[in-house]
Amino acid sequence: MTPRLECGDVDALAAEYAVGALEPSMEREIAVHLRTCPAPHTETREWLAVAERLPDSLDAAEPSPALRNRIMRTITRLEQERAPARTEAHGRPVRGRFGWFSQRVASGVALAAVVLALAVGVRLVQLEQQTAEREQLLRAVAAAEATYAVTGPAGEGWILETEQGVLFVAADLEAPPPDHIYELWLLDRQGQPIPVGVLTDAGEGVLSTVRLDRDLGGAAAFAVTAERGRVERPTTDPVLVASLE
Amino acid sequence: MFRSAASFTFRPALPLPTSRPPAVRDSQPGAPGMLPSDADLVQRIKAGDTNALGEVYDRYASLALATARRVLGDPAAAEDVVHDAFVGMWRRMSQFDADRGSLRSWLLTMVRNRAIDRIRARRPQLDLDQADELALLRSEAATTADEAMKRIATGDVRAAVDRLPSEQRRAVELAYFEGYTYREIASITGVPEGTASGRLRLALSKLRGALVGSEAAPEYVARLEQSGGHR
Repeated sequence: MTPRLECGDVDALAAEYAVGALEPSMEREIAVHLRTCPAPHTETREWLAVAERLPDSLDAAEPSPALRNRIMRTITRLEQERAPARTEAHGRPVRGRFGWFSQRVASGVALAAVVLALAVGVRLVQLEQQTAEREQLLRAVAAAEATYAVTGPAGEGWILETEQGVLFVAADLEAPPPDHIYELWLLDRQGQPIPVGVLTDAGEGVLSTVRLDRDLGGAAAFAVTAERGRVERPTTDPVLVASLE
Repeated sequence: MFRSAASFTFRPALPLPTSRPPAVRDSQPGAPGMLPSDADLVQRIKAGDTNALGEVYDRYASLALATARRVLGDPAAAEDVVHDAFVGMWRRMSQFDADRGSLRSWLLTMVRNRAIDRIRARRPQLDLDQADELALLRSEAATTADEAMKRIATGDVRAAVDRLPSEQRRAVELAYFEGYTYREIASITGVPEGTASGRLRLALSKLRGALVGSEAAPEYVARLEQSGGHR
């Protein structure tokens, strides 16, 4: 499991982050931390706001008249292309495609199931680091505002809505095929997938946790696919799914 | 086993608008004669209003083009980048939350990413989809401080940047407009990595102090100066 950045790590790299002077992977970690951390990180945010005014130090540039027309033509074409897709989306409700998997379970039952699974995880998980993470998880579970069961051929897990963000938790998931990772998705009410994270450490005896990159606002479902690296759109069928409605 | 869930398939990868109006920070229409807020424009774009994108273009195209030109030095390539960034914004607008993020910041980050991607042959190319996603996250992080920064005049920003010591200004330009990491900046300028980072910190502290002011800022900058930017 990839160690998460501490607040001090983020603050130490605040200037480099603000002006985009970090490697993309580190930049991403900091962005996700700032998105989910309850600490204010005031200086980091102020420096970011300062850096975002740097383009104002440049001489003004006047776009050619053709540029606006070109952009609008492209947008119009995109709108025309997706018009049939809208019709299909409205004709096939998302729920219909999700009929086979379990619906949202009562919070109390799900909570008990999560605690039980994590207790089993104690036996399965040997690493001290993961034991510490399990304890953190148990606290998160206890404070969860809502839980959703996630099921599928790869195993089972839970989505936990907590004050600190949304967690995907699973114990003992089947490992993805070689050279694959699990990618996590939220699906909006039109069935459009939004990438929300990756899970790289699934396998027997592993307690997996991922903090999603965004909250569940507007999401109708959650899904996990096996991918050859992170992708923008899923290329395989889901191995885990959950209804969030 | 990975095809065993065949009864469950994703829809074709086509962008669709959200089916319900998004929450926006200032959704009340502006007074007669006033320009619509960014949040209003976002709401209209999410509803499929292409004219709203045109209004966003009119508001930010000049700044976006200036940024792309500064990075690329090629006016035609810069217009290509601005085109792609606006199209990217349109495609991803359903993911943008005007309550959390700055439209200006998001757009300029996409422009910068695309422009730098064009000139950075020496480093693996950015995954633009991931970079756009990251741009969304970045756009959210500065919004609290951004309220004060929005009130700063453009001329004041330029003056503050011009007043930076040359080595600090150079470090900021290499990072922000040329896409170098602090490690690369250290190598380019022949200083230790800590010094390169320190110059960035000093530059941002001075800019912040110059632009929004703070009683604590001068002392803080003085401490940073004494330590060469190390905290």
